Amino acid sequence: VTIVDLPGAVATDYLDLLGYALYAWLWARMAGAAPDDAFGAAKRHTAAFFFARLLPRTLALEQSVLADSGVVMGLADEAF
Amino acid sequence: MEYHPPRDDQAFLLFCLFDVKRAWRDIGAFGEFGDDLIRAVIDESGKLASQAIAPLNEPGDREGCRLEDGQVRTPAGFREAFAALAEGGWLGLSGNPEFGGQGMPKLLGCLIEEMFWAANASLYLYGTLTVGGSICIDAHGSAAQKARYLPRLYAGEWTAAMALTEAHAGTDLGIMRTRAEPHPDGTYRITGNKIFITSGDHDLADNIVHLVLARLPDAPEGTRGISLFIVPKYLPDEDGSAGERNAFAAGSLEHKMGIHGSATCVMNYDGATGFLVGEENQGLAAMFTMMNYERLSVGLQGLGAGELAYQAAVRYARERLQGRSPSGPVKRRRPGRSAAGACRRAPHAAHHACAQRRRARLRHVRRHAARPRQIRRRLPGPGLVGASHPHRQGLPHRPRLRVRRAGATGIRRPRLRGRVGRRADRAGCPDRPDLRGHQRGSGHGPDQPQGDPRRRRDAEGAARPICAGPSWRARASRAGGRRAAARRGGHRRGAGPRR
Repeated sequence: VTIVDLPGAVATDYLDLLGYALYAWLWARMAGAAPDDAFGAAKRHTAAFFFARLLPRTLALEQSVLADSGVVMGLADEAF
Repeated sequence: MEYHPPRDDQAFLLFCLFDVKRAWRDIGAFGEFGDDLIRAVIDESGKLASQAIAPLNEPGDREGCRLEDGQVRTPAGFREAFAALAEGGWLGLSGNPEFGGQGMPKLLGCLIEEMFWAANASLYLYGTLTVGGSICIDAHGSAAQKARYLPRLYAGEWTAAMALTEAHAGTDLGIMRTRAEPHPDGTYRITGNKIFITSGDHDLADNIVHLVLARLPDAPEGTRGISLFIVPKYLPDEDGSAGERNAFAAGSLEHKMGIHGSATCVMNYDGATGFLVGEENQGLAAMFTMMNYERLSVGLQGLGAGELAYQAAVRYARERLQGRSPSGPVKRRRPGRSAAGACRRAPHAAHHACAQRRRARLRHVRRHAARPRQIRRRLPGPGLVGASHPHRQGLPHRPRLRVRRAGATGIRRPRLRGRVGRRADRAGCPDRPDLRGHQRGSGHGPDQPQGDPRRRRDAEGAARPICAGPSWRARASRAGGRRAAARRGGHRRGAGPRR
């Protein structure tokens, strides 16, 4: 894959990754700002859910972004 | 669709997470906004969203928009709801105070938009484009254009639409073909076709201000040759009100998977009169002032849709009688803890919490219990119905009902009304081990009618007839069945005592 194709080839995975990272930042802030009552406890619990169950997806996305992008653009037009 | 404004979450974001009052003080703006004002703004818009706008969501989507003689008709009630939105000043909330806007912080506007989106995305699409159009004109229009258009857009008397996409040019606007010919009077004649034009035509307001991208005759190639024009449906006359009809119309309505109450139009401009916004060939940058706002707003649309879906899911999980915990029947817990908890204990707690309502729903079904009419007539009254009663013995059980309902996991709610084949409020009754074993040991979930209903007995040891489903009459015609039930109202006693 040429360097020109690289951004397009990884864009979807990269933006997904960025989205999870931003969510993590906001959930961390929300968990920190949550009041000490039932509402705040629910917020912290949801944050814990995000970090435990959703954020790990970034690990897979990172691998996808770093993987050889030639597999995205390498197939010739005629092959479709 | 039922929608409750997420007040606690909004207050949390404003006052705990973003600490808006300090943030606003730091930037030296909005200092006059106290907590009370902020809460009042949010509460009022929440009321409007949940009470006036949300109820139109589902009917509006079913009815959809129609194109009649070149004029788009919106679903019933949209006109009134949009008028309420406009009269409340919600479209000019963050607008320029110089031209009738309220100059409220955008952050507040975001929270409010989220609620309007959640309540009815179809309806608020007319609103968001109006807000976006006013932002664009405020940023790039001439003083005269601002004075002419902004007050009416802020007040919702007129709405706006953005016309970019052409059949062959969506994201790639550099190749668009719509032409703008200069006219001696200083205006332009716009000719071309645009697709996917949201709110391109409708009957909610007196005028629709299209912001159209077009190419001047000598324009350079690509995106550097695009200019932006105001093209109103009715040309403003001397005193600024909507006057002569402009030469463009909706050619058809686009087919969509949802938001059918929002008119997405194919627009045909046939030498329509347009007014240049900003500089020639600088149109794309000006349009993207609007586009960027719409991107933010459509993000909020997703947030609103998510909130609405979440609320519906929690309601459903609390009412749906389905499944059991892998670790066995869940003990009754304190009510109202968490959605997940509600899911776990739905077979028990939802039963108890909703027993009254469900009984009310079941009543008419039981009344119709499909037994021969004459036998029903002769059934003895409350307290006397026993397994030994000759007529009870011979009553047919209705396998049809069970077959119809067995194993269906995607049953729609109305069917739940007739599907609980036992006394709901006895589901976890400790003094009825026979009943519990009967119901829960089967592994088919508590809401599947199991076994012979005649075996179930009430506290006096008398078997009670169990709902056997709607009668064939009711099946043939629900309404007719109900009417028949009303006529045979006295037969209720045949179904035994109720609690």
